[in-house]
Amino acid sequence: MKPKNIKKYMAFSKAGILSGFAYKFSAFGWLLGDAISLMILYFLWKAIYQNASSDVINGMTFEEMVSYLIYARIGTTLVFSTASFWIIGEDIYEGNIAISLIRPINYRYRLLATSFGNFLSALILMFVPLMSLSMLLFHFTLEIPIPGILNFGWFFASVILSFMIADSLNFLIGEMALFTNALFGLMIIKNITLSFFSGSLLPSSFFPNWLEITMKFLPFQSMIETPIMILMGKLEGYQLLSTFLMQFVWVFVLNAVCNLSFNAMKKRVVSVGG
Amino acid sequence: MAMIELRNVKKCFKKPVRKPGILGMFKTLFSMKYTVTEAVKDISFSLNEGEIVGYIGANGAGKSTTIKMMCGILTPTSGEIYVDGYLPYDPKQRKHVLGKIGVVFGQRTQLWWDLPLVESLTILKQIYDIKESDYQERFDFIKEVLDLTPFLSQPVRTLSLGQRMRADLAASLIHNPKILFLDEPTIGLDVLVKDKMIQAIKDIHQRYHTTIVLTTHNMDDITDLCQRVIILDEGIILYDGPLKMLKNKFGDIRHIKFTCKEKFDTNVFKHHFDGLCDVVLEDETYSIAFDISKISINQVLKVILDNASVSDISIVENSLESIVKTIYETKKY
Repeated sequence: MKPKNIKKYMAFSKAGILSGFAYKFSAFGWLLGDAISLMILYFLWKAIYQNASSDVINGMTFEEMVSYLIYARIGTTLVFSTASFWIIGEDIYEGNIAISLIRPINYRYRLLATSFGNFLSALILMFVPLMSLSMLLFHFTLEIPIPGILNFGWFFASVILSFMIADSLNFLIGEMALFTNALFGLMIIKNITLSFFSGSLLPSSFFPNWLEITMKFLPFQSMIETPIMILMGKLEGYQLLSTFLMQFVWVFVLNAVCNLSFNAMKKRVVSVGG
Repeated sequence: MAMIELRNVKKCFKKPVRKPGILGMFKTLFSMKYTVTEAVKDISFSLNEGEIVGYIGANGAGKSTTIKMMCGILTPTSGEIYVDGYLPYDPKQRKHVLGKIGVVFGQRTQLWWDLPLVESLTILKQIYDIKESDYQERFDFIKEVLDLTPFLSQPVRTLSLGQRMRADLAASLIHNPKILFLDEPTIGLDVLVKDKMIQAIKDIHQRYHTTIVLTTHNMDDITDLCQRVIILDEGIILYDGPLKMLKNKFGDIRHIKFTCKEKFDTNVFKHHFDGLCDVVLEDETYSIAFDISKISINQVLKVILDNASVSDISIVENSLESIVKTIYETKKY
């Protein structure tokens, strides 16, 4: 993309941030809900570990398990902040896709840019407060060390790629609104599937062997598990490199699929009518 | 050179044949049967730079379909459309057209729902890559004519219909398009706001010399704005020409309406004008319609006043509305 074009799309990111802040009260609601569910997670796993036969379940100690789950939960607010699913879904449902073609701008990248704005507002409104609070609590109660600067750096690089993968998947699922109007049902299926396979509910080491291997070849793990493992310093050197490579591959593949499918849809809209 | 040119444009829509019921719905999923409807049958016309054209027709006449084709949202089944020399629906030529057109669809907004109007305009400035000085000049002018100042910093979702419509018009003009498509821009507006809109469109046209295509069901908008009208019905053009000609063709008809205290014998008119005027009695009001090129208004009034004790009287000019109504009904010009 030419720099002049990037400026165009930046305007949409700015709009995404602004609309994220336009609903700041609902963001506080989410914040409260997330804080409560984090507490529930903590006590649930405390009970599980207390009743387990050993201190280590699936190779993870209680401290590792809790920090993984809570970081994953907080990471979800960032990675799944994309609004592309709703935007494209509603645009299809209300027949606005055709009208959006009037503007000299790529629809798919427009949504990505808008979602990136949402990402930034989620970062400020949700991620930073929740993350700093839980890290401090962990540090003072469970004596879990605060991740280093370098880990945070890699983590953010990885999270941005994760976000792009999540956005592509959301865009693709959103396109299904062409066949069904049940956006809400689609969203529930999407959220459950994504949160399960991305490792946001459980690390993939809990999956049966065959599933764990299958997952290595699918894009889901790259969304939550990879960046959290990086944050916790579990991946280093060669492993770090290969996971980044994996994420890059998925970003490109999914982006291509999005563009292809959207062009096919555009053709249909242009020849058949909105 | 013509700004917009349509040559034998035709547009068919293919729709799957739907069968009723749940079972029918499943059958539809797998059936390959289609019905083809011709929304636009064969349309040709060309518009020059700076023209304002009223594009009118009954519901379902194919107006919106034509507008969508001219914007490049739909591709014609056959025929060509040139907008400033380019085909708008051709993927390679689109980009030459998109910066030159502005569109307002009265039925839906193109603004960003959650954002203040001013932000939406800034985004458009980026999208169309408008120079700061040009933007400022146009922004000040549009803000003035459309009276945007009171709601400039409000999110679009909180605007009233009239405000939203003005905002949409502003958004479609900010990149100084050569061509402006207005698809029912005054729908649902009250008289005051509507007049403001019309005045604004006039001012904008005067200043920027924009070519404007206006579709509406409100004939007052057409009489106020357009010199030329195109009347469309069932996908073909019934009339294309100056507004004045339309009036002449259908005669300069006047309607005299009056009420009287006593019963009045309408045969007097037959006796005097011999079938050159129509008399209708409706709710105790007599209505006389006649062509002033054939009978002088003087004579008619004299006959009325001589024969009836009039308690109220009014003279009405034949409106565009009634002409168009006749055209729609008779399907011919």
